Amino acid sequence: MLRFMFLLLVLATGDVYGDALAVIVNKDAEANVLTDEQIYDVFIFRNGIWENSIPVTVVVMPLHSPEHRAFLDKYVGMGYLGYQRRFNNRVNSSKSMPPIIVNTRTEALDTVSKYPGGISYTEDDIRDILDSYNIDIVEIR
Amino acid sequence: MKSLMKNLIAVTVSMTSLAVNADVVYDVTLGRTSLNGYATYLTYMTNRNTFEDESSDNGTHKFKAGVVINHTFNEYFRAALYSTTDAPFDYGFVEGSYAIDGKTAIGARLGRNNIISGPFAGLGPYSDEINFLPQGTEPNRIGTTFYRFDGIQLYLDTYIGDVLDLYVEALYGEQVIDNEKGLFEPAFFAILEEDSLHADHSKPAKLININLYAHDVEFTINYGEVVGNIEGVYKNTLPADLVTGNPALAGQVIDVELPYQDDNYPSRFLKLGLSYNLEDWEFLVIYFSQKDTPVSDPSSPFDLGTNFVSDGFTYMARHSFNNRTVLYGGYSDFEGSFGNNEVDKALKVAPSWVDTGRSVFTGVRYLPAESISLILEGHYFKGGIFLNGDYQDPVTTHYSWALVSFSASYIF
Repeated sequence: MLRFMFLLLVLATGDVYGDALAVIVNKDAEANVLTDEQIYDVFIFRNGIWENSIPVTVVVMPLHSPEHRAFLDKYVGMGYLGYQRRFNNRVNSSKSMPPIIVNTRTEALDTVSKYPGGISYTEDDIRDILDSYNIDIVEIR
Repeated sequence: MKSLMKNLIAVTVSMTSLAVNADVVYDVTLGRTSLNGYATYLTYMTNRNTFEDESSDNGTHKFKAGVVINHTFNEYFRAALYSTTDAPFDYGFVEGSYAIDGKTAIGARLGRNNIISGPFAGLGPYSDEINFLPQGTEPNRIGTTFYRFDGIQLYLDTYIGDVLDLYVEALYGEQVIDNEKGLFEPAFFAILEEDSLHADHSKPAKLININLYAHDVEFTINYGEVVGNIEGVYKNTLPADLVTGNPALAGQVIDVELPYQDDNYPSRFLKLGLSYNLEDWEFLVIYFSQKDTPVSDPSSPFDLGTNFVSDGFTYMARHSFNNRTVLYGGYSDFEGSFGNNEVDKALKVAPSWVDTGRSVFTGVRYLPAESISLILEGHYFKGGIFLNGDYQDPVTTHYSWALVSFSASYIF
């Protein structure tokens, strides 16, 4: 019985963060439609400039945080330790603006909204407060 | 300390300057500044009592602090400064870069540069686990092999196809040796005393660093050539009570402090690193070698012959158990030889020496809070120095030591 209840719980909750994670981007980047590959390229610093020539500013939660790990699992397909190393090694390569680490969802929204090329992710439903920020939720194709 | 922002909260400050005259207001955005830093309390205990000229009878306690300022003026220009309690100007540079397109950028850094990438490149609370430990511990020895250089560093950052990322740095300048790094003799039984060390590099140093990424795999090549006029006090750091074996040999190398000078001392370094990330695991293999080719001076008590070669491997694994705990450990070995093999074989007047060592290390890093890092780490080393001449009976000196360290860091 306990096993059955546990199974139900797992099925009901699914991936705690993965399903709700949304990628958000500053409207000035004009990048509200992206492919999985484009998201991958941006977050591992392969692509540092949007198509409209605005520099990319990657905004992430603390690298060891559950939110960031869930994002890596869903969009980057890379483990936390490997991403941490790549983040460290590339942070000073100056292909684009240095990435920013934030601690809260509000801070992430504020930061992405502030930088024209800002891009980040959030595990919360922000549709109700979206008008308060210069942010688009990215449609992924 | 090369990786500067991992696990840190970047404090961003937008500076806006308003220059006002009667008719026009100029709104000049000066860019974005990130300010990061740390304050670390480190303690270690070792039975190598004179480790790096520090007594450890009651443990060694250190306080280290550092701050790094990264200012990005815009997508083309940036400036960085790293300052610590050991080195007020550890490194700093201005950088210009140009993005050819979204895939490729080229740039140049002018000032005091360092190598920022590659496995074990960043030690301490900022980046990888591993405490700030004395030289001679693996993998600190590997991580700090490459020093600071005053000069110009060019780089290319691009990616090839769907998978490969390529990052190349080439540096030309003058090597900087500071007290923190010292000058380490891989022979492992002697070191130029830090305070006495002086290096005048009459010839420019050359250094190239290549990083290749393929998703979960990273491959690194560091190669450097340095030539310098080096002088200092040559000081043995091997405690006599750890030596067993040939007492005559021990008598030759223990408790020696003598002036040392060598002009045009050339060294070449090569480091190859490979890391693979598999979910919550990371595996690293690093090969490191150093080859010195000084001019032999048999009249000198420090004559090492015409060749000194040391190389070895380090194997390391890291595992992240949860969001706040990382366990790591590894094994390392090296073997070095010095002497004049040609003379040995032809004239049989001078011996060749071999020194070899193995070490195991393990540690755990725990983050009780976002800005607090605790690292507990242990090392055990066992090595030996012995004669390699065919014409003499081998004599051997064995030594071993253990070290346990703990650090608590506040990082911001």
